[in-house]
Amino acid sequence: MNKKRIVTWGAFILGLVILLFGLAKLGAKSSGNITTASSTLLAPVTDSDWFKGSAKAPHTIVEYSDFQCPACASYYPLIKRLTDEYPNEVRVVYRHFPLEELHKNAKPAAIAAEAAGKQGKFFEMHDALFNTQDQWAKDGNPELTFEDLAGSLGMNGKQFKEDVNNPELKKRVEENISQAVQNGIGGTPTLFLDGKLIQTPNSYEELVQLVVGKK
Amino acid sequence: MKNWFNWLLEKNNLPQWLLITGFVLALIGFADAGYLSMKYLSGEKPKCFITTGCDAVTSSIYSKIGPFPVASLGFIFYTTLLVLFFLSLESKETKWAKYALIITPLGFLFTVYFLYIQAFVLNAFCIYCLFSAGSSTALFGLAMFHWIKNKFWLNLT
Repeated sequence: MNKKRIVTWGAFILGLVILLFGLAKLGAKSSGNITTASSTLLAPVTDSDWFKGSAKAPHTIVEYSDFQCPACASYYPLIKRLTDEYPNEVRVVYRHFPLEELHKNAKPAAIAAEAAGKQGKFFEMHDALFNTQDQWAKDGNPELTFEDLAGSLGMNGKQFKEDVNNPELKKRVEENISQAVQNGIGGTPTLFLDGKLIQTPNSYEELVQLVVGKK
Repeated sequence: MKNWFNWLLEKNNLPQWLLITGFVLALIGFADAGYLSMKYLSGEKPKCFITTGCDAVTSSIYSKIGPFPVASLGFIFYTTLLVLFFLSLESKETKWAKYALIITPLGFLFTVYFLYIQAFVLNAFCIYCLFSAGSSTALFGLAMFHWIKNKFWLNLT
């Protein structure tokens, strides 16, 4: 093989390696879209926030989530397991960020969860909504599914129907949305740990290490 | 069958424009599949974005064939084509590019299958998957153009 061929092939391979390296960097930057978000949680946790775990837990995760988001549905079992196994170490605050342009039923689902919260069943409805996401996500009339879920959770159906039409609950959801927008959040789920934005951990073990392993 | 295969490799030299086009299309596929492979291998959890939607396709069960991520299989496919086209351009022996053209139907078949999955099973599309579909279809189109132009059916016996 002559010198010219070696140089040509060398340049070709090097070019491909540089291209792959550039793509890897591009992938890391665009994934999470969190480069547009402020790295600090702007809206502090208040008594009106929904949370699981002990109020006195040393660590707090604030999750901005969308009930129609498949990624949130696949992630919620990890969060649930964390609060079940470490209730005194961490509390998890749930805040609504329905991506309305993508998910038409997400805001009604958020309001349904708030209505369930009025009867003390916010997180039961939260779990049920994620567990049945496939059933109502593309439904033209998801409200009926939400009423069925409320019934299956032992709620007062009449009260639930009234509450979903309560403008106060819609306002609560919209307040969360407004917080997320001000924080520059571009997707779901987005997590803040002790007020700082974090990359969503890839596994339960990573999540535990990040939260409980934190000194 | 053997005659036809020999004909595919020996006769009908490929024009330069075809080699360059094939190289460019393979490079696009290489970059696209490389990007998807890297995202998959980084193991990052999928997210839904306001701007680009949810990662429903790339995180579905259809994103793997057995233990192999589809993105990585695509990457191997495009790398093979890229090297073959480059080899022909560099050595001026068009037989390497002819090998590349012979394997384009494989990429096209997978493209049709994955487009079906996205359209009718997942009801969701992934933009990078569509770019790859475009490259592999164009590469197959290139092969078909060359074979039809040179009346490959006359050499089927």
